[in-house]
Amino acid sequence: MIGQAAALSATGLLLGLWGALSAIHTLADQDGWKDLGPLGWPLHRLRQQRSALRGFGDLVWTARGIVWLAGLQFIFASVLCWAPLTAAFAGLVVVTLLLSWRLGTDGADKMALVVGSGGLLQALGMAWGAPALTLAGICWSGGQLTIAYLAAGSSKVLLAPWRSGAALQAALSSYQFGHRGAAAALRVPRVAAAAAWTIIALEAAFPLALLLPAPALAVVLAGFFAFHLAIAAVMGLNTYPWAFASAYPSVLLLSQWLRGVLGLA
Amino acid sequence: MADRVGEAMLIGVVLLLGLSLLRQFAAAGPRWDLLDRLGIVIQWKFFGQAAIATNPSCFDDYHLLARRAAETGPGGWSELLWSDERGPADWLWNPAQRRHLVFMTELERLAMADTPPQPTALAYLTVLRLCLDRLRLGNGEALQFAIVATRGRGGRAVALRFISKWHCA
Repeated sequence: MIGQAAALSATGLLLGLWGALSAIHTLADQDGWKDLGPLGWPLHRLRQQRSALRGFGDLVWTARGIVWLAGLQFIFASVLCWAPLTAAFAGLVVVTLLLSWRLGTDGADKMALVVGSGGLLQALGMAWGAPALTLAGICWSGGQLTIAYLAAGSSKVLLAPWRSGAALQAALSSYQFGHRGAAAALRVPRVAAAAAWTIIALEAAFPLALLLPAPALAVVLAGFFAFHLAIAAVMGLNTYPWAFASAYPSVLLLSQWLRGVLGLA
Repeated sequence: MADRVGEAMLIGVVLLLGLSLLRQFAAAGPRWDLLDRLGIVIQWKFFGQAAIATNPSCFDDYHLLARRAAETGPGGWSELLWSDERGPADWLWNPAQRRHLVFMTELERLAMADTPPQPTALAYLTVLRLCLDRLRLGNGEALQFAIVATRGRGGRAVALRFISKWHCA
């Protein structure tokens, strides 16, 4: 059994690691977002159709604004690594939303937003003594992660190139998403098909893992974390492992609650 | 009071999770995109987009070339963005990844457009600005950029996907 307080601390730590890495990346690449560059705000404010949003962007989405936002993201993330404070969850969600709106959103950003808002609900629920609010936060983070894995697997199984392994071969043979070693390993069509079906089956079956006892579910989650690390190594998506792992404590709590409701505990 | 707030939030979360589940298999629209960007109703695909079934160029690598023209005529093509092997530490440290993804998205927008994008389109302007940054034009010189695509590794045939107008600095 995992306690709510321990789970929230683990959530804060993992989300904090994601936030710190994301912030440091942004600060290290700030020259790429300079105002007079191809991605500068003076040009990209044209994308905002509402003048109020442009005016707001003139304040926060310039090159200097991005540096401030990334600095704040780093501060909130660092606080979360030490303590799952409500204000830190809220601050990280707001800053991440502002940064991703300007710099673009990837899957890790979306999961971080989910876990941040879920963590906020959990922290408030525990502070106010409102079990339903805490459960809402647990359901939000754990539920979204479950939907993410389910959708990833079920959307692939509907596509013939994925069922044959051709899509996996094509993705890992590309330079944008792939890797020399992975491309070589999947050169044989049967190997690619087997690898594709393994991914599809594990992702699509993830919701069933919620019915497992906690130790078994922890092993499943460790396996998925290893899968994310492999994706980071092959595809360069190095922020994904931390964003997705930050939802795992909520998945453990969600499973505990679900097993209790179903009489499996 | 806190209990009521909690119960209301729980109901709201359950409804949003239900919407999220439906969203996975629903067609996209502007309002859904907004809710997706806000992290409220998210579509999680991870290479499961429907276009993969019908479009063989989904995993093509896009590259950006540019050339100058002076009074003597057009010069040779220079590679400004060429997709190649990632660095050995990219799994740990990859700060340019987000910016690279933005540029690739803009290249793909120009290359895959149903009708030729106008030079006033934001994707066109972004790429043009990148080219002007990298290739400084002298007096009387003009610049043209091209987007080409390759597929897979080894013996990569280059396919022209988009060529721009000529632009002066």
